[in-house]
Amino acid sequence: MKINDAIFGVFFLLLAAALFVGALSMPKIHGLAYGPSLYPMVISIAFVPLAIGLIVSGLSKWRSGPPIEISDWVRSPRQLIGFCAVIASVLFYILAAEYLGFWITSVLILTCLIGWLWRKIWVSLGLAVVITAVLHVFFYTFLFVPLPWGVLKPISW
Amino acid sequence: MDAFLEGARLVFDPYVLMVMVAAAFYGISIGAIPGLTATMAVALLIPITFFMDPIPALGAIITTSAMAIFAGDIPGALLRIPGTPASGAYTDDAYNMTRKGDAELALGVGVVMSAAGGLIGSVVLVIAAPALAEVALNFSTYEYFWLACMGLTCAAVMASDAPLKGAVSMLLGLAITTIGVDVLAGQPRFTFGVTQMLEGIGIIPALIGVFAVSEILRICSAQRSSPPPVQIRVGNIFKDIGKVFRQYWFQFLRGNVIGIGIGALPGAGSDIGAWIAYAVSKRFSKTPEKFGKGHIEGIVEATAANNAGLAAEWIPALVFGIPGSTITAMVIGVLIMKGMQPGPTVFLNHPELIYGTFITFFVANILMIFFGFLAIKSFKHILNIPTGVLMPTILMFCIIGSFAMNNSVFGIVVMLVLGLISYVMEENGFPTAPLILAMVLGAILEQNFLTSMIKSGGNPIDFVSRPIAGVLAVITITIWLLPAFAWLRRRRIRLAKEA
Repeated sequence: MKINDAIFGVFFLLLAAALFVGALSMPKIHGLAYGPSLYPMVISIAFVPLAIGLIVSGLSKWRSGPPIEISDWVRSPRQLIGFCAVIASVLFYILAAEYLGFWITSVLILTCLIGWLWRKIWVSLGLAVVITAVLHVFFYTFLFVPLPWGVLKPISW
Repeated sequence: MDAFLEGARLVFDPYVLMVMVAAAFYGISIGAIPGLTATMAVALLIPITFFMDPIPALGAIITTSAMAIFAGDIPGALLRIPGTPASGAYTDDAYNMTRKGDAELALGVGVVMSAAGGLIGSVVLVIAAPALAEVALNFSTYEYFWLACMGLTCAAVMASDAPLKGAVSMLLGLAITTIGVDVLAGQPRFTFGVTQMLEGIGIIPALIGVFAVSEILRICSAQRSSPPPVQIRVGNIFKDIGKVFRQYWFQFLRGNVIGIGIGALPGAGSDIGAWIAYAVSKRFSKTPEKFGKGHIEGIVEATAANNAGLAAEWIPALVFGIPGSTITAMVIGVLIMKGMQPGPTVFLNHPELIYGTFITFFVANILMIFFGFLAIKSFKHILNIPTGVLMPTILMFCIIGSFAMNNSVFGIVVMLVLGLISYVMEENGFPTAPLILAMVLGAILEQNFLTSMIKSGGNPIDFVSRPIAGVLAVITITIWLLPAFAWLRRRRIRLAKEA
């Protein structure tokens, strides 16, 4: 998705304003001439000329194309689903891993993603189990990362 | 001498050597897969190095990055898809040589010149770093402030095609570092009541998001398979190396000088060194018309610059704690997590670590010749790994890696958000390297800026009154003004043509 630079410029100008206002509201520290607000203020001020530069650059190209240009791949359902599936998988892990546990969440994610991207549904289930097992052994057993067990807690090792 | 022997003992430990061999396999495999970069290889490795001692961790990172940078030449030569941005400089030449049936020479020169360039860069690192560290011991907050500014400036202005967008990316990174408890007063900033944000935005999940998740999104949305290699069988890659070296030894040395010079600049990195070396090679060549059509001269110079720069990048990182590239930015992140702040004091307090790092560079570059040969021979097998299996596996790896830093899903949230931001930025021409360098340098910059402000009572003259601080300030401001000079020059030429 190509976005005109002017839109980015406006966004960064708003971000700079938010940063500046946020810094203004920070309490002054007694005995410190330069407190925690100074650094964010300097950054917000530095943003202004750059954001204006982006706006100027964007406006010069405004008439030569649409302000937001949708990439070709968005029009292909297969590619769009591939993109969204990656984001959905991470969100699913964030929301479900604690309850379902690493094993079930990982097998579900890998089966769906490999199945969609590789188009081999049954092979994908087998591969998902093998990859999950390898990742679990490596991170949980060797590196002691406390991957969640979730509903499989009764059979954990 | 004791520190050197201790460093050697640490590196030649069977466990460390095993880690380096495993890292070599890993780096070669990732680097050889089109679309997966050396930076991504190191980003994915960081969560594992977190569980290692400093020397095996550094050994794994150095070996992975050196192998991945070289391996990027292989898909460039055989498929015309550079495996890493550094290989992009001479991909057309290497691919056209392959089409003419000279793949052996293109790849042989790639592996041998990369290893030789890496060894020369390592020698310079060994000589320059301790000498510079002596000087750096006298640095005050003013010098560190300007060094951090210079690093960020180089990353934003020199290392990208669009300096304006590079500078915006840098400021965004600095803005992200204001989240969390501030460095001097311990005051929470922009945390919005979220407890996990008090520690700030973790650099490791951010790195994984920026370099791995954005790439997975790009590959999964493209879903294109690689074209078949034009020449599957590759013969003896070392056959004509001697002849090429005798003919282009000067270009090889010049490539090293350029790679080391650019690599040693804080924030510039070795990728840009390869591009500049290729441009210089073409500019001074007796046969510039052959460049891009399958000519070995540019490959010799640029591939040597690649790996020489990779070692030189470590000079500012080890001596000043200012990263020379995204890879050394990650190294600094790892060392800080291990309770070690890179800088001149490491040379005094942990000299064995410094010597261990030096020795690791030599071992990694020697390993490269063997593993490079192996990788070239087995390239078609690496290509056989389906993207549809590889990408989901890497995604799970990213999720676990981001979780493992603090054993919290907040790391995964940071990874996803930064991955999406990075994806949108790169789609619109904003380079992401300045963002990451700014995230690493943000705390150093703020601490030295505020301390200097307090020391000087806000007097700006004090920032430039010490000789080295003054010189660094002049260099930094000159680099800031470079894009304006370039724009004025282009305008003058255009007006002259119109007249």
